[in-house]
Amino acid sequence: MRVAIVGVGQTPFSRNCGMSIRELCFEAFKDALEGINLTPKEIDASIICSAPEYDKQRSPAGLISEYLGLTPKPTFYAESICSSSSTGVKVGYSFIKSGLHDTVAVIGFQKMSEISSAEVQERMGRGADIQWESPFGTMMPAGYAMYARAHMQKYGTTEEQLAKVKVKSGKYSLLNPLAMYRRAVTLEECLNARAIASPLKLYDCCANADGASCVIMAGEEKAKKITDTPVWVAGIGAASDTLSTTSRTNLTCLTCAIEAAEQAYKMARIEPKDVDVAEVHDCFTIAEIMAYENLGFCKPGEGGKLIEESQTYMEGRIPVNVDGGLLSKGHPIGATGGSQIRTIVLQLQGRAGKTQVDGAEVGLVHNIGGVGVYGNVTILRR
Amino acid sequence: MATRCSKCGKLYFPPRADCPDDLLTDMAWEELSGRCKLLTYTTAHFAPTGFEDDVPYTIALAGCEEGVNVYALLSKDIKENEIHIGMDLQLTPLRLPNGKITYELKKA
Repeated sequence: MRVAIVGVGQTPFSRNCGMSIRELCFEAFKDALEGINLTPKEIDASIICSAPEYDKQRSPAGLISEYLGLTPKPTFYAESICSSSSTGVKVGYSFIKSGLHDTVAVIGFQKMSEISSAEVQERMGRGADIQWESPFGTMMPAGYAMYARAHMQKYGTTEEQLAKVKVKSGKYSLLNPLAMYRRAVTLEECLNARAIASPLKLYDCCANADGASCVIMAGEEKAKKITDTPVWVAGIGAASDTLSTTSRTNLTCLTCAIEAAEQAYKMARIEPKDVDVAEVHDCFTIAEIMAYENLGFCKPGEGGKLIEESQTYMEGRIPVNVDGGLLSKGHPIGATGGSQIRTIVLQLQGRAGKTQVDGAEVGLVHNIGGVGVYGNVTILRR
Repeated sequence: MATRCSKCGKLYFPPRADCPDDLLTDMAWEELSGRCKLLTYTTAHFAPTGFEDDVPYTIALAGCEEGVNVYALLSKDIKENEIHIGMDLQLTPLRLPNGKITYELKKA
């Protein structure tokens, strides 16, 4: 029995949503149910995904499930930092494949606007080894910056190549009404922007955001009754790497992404070249370059060359992040995975409008938690 | 100070109480020479809450000669144009103004 995604939805991502997390989730949930033959009462279970401590609600699953009218169906909270909703989709897949539940809703959300940027980085700094690394004032940009520095040292990757990732993102942001930043940026603007954590500058970094996403999944038989265009989950892979930087064996690639991708490709019985369109975790420009390499779209060290040759634009060999990616959409942590999945689902359903990749049959989502702590790769097929 | 498992002999830094390979809690303390080389680094120009007064500061990952790695700040003595991957550093204890003890990486 195959497992399908039958509905996807998300809110616009914004700097300040002006509503509470319950209303945010409701909006994404309602959007996912739009136009499909499914009522909330038919959902057998829900998985609520986000990173904790950004808003004040403890144990949000019970609250969100209640507000969405899903009580008394089983619900719980799933977290793998920035890949929380991909993890939710993996669990949802498992529920359906095992026969435990037939229809599952995965709701990812994050409201980051209740605290300042410095406070947000304080939380993210505590996503590192709290005894041995957090006390040195670490934060997410610093973690990826160290990888950028090592990548540049080993492969000669340049700051210009990093900036070109953002230039692509800016171009496609103009075509995504749900993106937080909808603005083209020039290479010069990127290179002259203020330093955040060297060598990463302002435009090399994604922004904190408020937002929610929803992915509804069902078993094959039920899926065909819900929609005429189910999108099948062809492959799922997940892996972890050490949380501590000191134990990392490789500073120029995310091993959790490589392993997760290998698993997903094997399960889907495809190779990297068979992917028609991809969404990768571009929390920072270096992350997208490493993603090209770790997913096998190019050889290790050649990620900079791939963007330089424009091979990841729509006209290129492998369109990547043609919805603007995290760099333009913003990164409401728990909602991101679901949003990436939504973009690929729309591509495979032929509903991607101006950014439609012609004849897209196979799509890939690469969603990473923390600085390569949790790797999640999902392969979808028409 | 690092810890070494009394059964398999594996060295751990930062120190830890338990060896996962042996499922054993029997470690001996071992002093590191402090001699290491820079593996990668970044200079933070934006700080999380609590670290605002320290900006800019450089976070580094260094490889010790004993085969373990250390994550710490580069001493403010080191000028930006002196920093290069592979440079020799010395892991040095440091007492902070608030009395707490930590360590930093100084030029070797």
